[in-house]
Amino acid sequence: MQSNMKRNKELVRVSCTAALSLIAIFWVIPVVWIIVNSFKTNVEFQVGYANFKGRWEYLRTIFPKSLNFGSYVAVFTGEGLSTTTHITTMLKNSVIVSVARTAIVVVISSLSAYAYERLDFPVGDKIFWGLFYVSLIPNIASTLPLFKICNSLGWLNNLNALIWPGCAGIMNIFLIRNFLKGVPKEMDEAARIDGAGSFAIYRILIVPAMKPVLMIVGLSAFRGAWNDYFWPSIVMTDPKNQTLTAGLALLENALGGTQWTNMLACIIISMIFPFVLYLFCQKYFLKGIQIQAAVKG
Amino acid sequence: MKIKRGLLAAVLLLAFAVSFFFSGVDAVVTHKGTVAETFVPHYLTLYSLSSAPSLLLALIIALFIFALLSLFHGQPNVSFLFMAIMTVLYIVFLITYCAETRNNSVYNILNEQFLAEGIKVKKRDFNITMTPNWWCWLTAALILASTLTIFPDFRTPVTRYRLKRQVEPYIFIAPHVLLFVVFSMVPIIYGIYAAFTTWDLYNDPVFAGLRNFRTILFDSENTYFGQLRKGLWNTIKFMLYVTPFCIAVPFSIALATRSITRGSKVLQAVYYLPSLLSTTTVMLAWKYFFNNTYGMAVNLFGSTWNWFAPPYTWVMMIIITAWWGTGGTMVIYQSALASVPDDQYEAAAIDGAGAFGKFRYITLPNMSYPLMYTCVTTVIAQLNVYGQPNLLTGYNYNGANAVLLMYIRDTAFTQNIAGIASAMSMVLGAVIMAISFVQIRLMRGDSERAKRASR
Repeated sequence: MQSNMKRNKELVRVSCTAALSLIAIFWVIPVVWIIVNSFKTNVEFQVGYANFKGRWEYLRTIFPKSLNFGSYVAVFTGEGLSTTTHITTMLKNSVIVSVARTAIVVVISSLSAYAYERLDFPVGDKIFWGLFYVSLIPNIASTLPLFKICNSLGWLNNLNALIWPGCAGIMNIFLIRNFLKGVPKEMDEAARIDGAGSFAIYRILIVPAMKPVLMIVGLSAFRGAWNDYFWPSIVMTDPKNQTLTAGLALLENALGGTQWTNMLACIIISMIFPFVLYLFCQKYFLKGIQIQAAVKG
Repeated sequence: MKIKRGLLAAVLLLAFAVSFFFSGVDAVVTHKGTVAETFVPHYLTLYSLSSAPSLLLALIIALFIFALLSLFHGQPNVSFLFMAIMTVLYIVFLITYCAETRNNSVYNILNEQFLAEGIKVKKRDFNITMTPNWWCWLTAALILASTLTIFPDFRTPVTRYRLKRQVEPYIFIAPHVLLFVVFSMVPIIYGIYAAFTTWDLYNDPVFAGLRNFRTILFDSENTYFGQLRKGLWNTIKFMLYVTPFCIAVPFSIALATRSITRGSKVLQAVYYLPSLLSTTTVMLAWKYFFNNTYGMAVNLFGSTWNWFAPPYTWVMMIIITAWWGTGGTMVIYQSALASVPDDQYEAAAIDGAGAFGKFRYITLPNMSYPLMYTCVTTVIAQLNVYGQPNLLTGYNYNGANAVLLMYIRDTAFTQNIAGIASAMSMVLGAVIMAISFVQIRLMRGDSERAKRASR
C-alpha cells in the first residue's frame, strides 16, 4: 500500500514534468520562429518558403543558412527599405515616456500615500476613498474628453500627452498605503520628537522602508507606459513620432508585405526591453502580481 | 470670534461664486472696419475647455468646493491655503486668457457674426482683444477678501507649528490630486455630459438630450445602432470565449507545477514571459505563426483552413490571448496553492480521500478567493479588448470580429462624431462598471479580513 502510493506519486511527478516541458516547448515556438527567421535575408525568406515540400523540409527551411544581421542594421539605417522606419525615434519616445512616467508615479504616489497613512490628516480617508470611487469609472468614459484636453493644452503629438495623464491613477497609492500599514510607526514618532519635519521623515525613514513596494509600483508603471497601445495611437497623430508599441502596427503596414525579416527584426527589438527589465527585476515582478492580487504567500 | 470669522469667510466665498457667475471677458475683433464683439462669461470658457487657461478655471472650481468643505469642517487654516491658491490661479487665469488672441471657442462665436454679414475672415487674421468686465475685479476682490478674513495666526511658534501640521498633508497630496482633477475628474464629467450632446471633438458640444442614446439603442435603421449591437456583442462574445481559457490554462499549469520537484523556476519563467510583451508585439508575432503561406500553424501543425476567416479567427484569438494572459494569473494561483497548509492534505488522505476528493474538498475551497479575483480582473480586461481584433482582423468579413472599442475609436477620431461615440462609451462603461462593483466588494472584503486578522 505504502509503496504503491509512493510509486503513484512518482508517476504523477514524472508525467507532470514531461507534460509541462512539452507545453513549454510549444509555448516558446512562436517567439523562436521569429528570432530564427529574423536572421535571414528577405530573399532567403521568400525563396525558402516559396518551394518546400512537406513538414520536414519546412522545418529545415525555418533555420537560416548563415547568421545575417542585415535586417537589424537595415531597420536602423533604412538601407534597402522601401520606407524609413523611424524606429530610433520610436525607441527614444518609448524610453522617455516610460522612464518619465515611472519616476513621476513613484514620487507623487509615495508622497500621497505617506500623507494619507502617516500624517495627521483627519479628512484624508474621505478624500482618498472619494478619489478611489471616482477612479472606478472605466477609462473609456474619459478618453474622448482627455483627447480634447490634450488638444487644448497643445499636447497632440507631444510626449507630455503620454506622460502626465497616465500618472493620475490611484491604485498605486492604494498599494503603497497597504504596505505602509505594515511599517512600524515608532520610528517616525521618535524622529518627530527629535524635531524632524514631515518631509525629512518621508525622505530619510519612509522611502527606504517602502523600497520594495516602490519597485513594484515603478515596474508596473513602466510596463503600463511601455505596453500602452490605444492611447498613443490616438494622441500621437504623426506616424513619424510614435512610441514603439503603437508604431509597430504602423511598421507592419509599411514593411509587412515585402520586407518580412526587417519586420521580424522590429518585433524582436520591441521584445528586448521588457525581457531585460524582467531579467534584472524578476523578484519584484512576481511579488508585484501577488501583492496586487492580495494573496498572502 | 473664530466662528464668526469663518462664517464671514463662507459668506464672502459664496458671494465670490455669485460674482463668478456674472464675470467674463468682452471680446472684440476688428476686420477692415467691421467690428464683431461678444461677451464670453467664465462658465462658457469652462464649458468649452478650449485652451490651457480654461483648465485653470476647472481647478478653481475644484478648489472652491474644497475650500467651502474645509470651512464647514472647522479647518480655516486649510481653507486659507485653498483660497490663497485660488486667488493666485484666478489672476493667472485672467492674464493668460486675455493674452490669447486666437482662442478657438471665442473665434467660433465671432466668426459666426462675420459669416452672418457675409464676410469671410481667415483664422490667422483674427486678433481678438479681450478685456475683463468689472465683475471680474469684484470676483478677484471677493476671493482676496475671503482669504484675508481667515488669515492664520503666524505670531507664536506654537501656532506656526500647528498651522504647518494642518496644511502639510494637503501639500503632500497636491501633485497627485492636481493630475487627478485635470486628467481624470474633468474628463469623466465632461465625457458623461458629452454623451448627451452633439459634438465634433474639437469645438463646443451642443446639448441634444437623449438623442444619441435613442439613435444607438432604438433606431434600428441607423448605422451606429448596428455598430453598437455588433461591437458590443463581439466584445461580450470575445470575453465569454476567452475567459474560461484564461482561467483554466494557468490553473492547470499551476496545479501541475505544484507536483514537480525540479525545474519549476525555469518553467515558471517560460510561462510568464509572454505576459511581458505588448499587444502589438504579441499580435504581430502570432500573425506570422498563423500565416497561411509560411506560418507554422499551416505547414507544421497541418491546419487546412484559413485562420483569418470568421469562425477560426475566434479560435486564433483564444489561443493568442490565453498564451499572452497566462503568466500573471498563473503566478497568483501558484502562490495561493503554495499557501495551502500541507496538513489539510494529510488529514484528507487519512480520511481516505483520493486525488479528486483532495482537489474538490481541499484545493478548490482554498482557492476560491484567487479564482474569483482573477475571474473578475480577466473579465474586465477582456471587455476592454481592442488590440487583438484591430491588429489581426480589423473590419474584414463585414466586421465579423470588430469590437466596440474599434467602432468607438473610428466614430470619434475618424468621423469626428464624438457625441455618438461618447454615448457608445457610456454603454460599454456601464457594462464594465457593473463587473467592477463585484471586484470592489471582493477587495473591500479582503481589506476587512486583513483588518480583522491584524487585530
